[in-house]
Amino acid sequence: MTVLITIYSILITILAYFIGRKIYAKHPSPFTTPVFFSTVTIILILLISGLDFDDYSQGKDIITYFLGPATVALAVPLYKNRKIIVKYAIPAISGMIFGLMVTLIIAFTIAKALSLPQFILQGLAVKSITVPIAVEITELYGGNANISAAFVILTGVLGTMIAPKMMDKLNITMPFARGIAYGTIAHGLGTAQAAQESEFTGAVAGAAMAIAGILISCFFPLINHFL
Amino acid sequence: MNKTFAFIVQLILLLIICKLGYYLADLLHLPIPGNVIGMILLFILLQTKVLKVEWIELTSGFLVKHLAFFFIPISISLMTMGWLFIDFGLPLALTLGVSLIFGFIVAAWTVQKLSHRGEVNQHDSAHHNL
Repeated sequence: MTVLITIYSILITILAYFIGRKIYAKHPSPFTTPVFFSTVTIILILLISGLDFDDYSQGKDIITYFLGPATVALAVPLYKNRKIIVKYAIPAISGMIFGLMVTLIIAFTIAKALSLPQFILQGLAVKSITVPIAVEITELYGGNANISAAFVILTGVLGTMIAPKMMDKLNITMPFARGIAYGTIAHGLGTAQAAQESEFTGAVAGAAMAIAGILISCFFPLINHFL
Repeated sequence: MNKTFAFIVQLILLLIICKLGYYLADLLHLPIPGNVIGMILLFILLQTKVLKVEWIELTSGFLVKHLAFFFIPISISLMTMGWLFIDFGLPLALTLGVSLIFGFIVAAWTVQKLSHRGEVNQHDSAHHNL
């Protein structure tokens, strides 16, 4: 029975994702971004099937196991775009560092002003980097990995929902700049969104996500100091 | 070579590099996650021509293209966090939303202003496509 539920979980996830992609390609809107659409659909299917998250978790473990090699695979876009990234290294790194600093300072300021508890601040510190790195950092520093994962996902989903139109309105049209912002602030989900805009934007975003992950990993002791 | 076979071999190669990354992070007590070490390792292998990009292109291209898929199960776990949104929903939405918007604007603007406009255009990018 457990095996059947696991297979069922994986199948509905694959199906929801591919339907989500198809719908987004035809009707791009904040509410049809594949991850948002799939998440809502799968939760509804689970509820209708009388299953809870525990039933789903075996399927989840199998799918998320491949996040490890998927993160490693990011070295390929990084390598392929190394020349252009090296050529524009200073604008790219400046954008990433300023972007990360601004998003973290604003998040901490608002969270402290609204007196949100400490475990939320810990989660906020890693909200912009990709889940596998965020979870590892949180575990390394004794935080709550589930909370971190939730904030990372929420940031990614919100980012893919808000950012495309917002950057259009602000006249940020340069694919390189958009790619850096997507990867730096909205990690893997942003990278997936960037890849929908163009392969090049996606590759830049992939590289930016990887570098942002490395930057936060290296500077986390410093960030942790401000919590 | 059979494509499915190539895909599986490449996937195993990526898994081995990933495991090696975790092993190295553990061995050297690095403050960086193992999968990131794996990524740096693969980059070094490509840069030093130990590995050719063609040898892992198929699977890594697929994984990167469908990266969003691997996040879906993690976002399903939000269904167990109702309490978080009931207790902190509005302040959380405000914190995440506002910090995200300004992070995006600052990152993108900085890059666009500092690079000479038009230099990294579609023509240039055509040579760097995946």
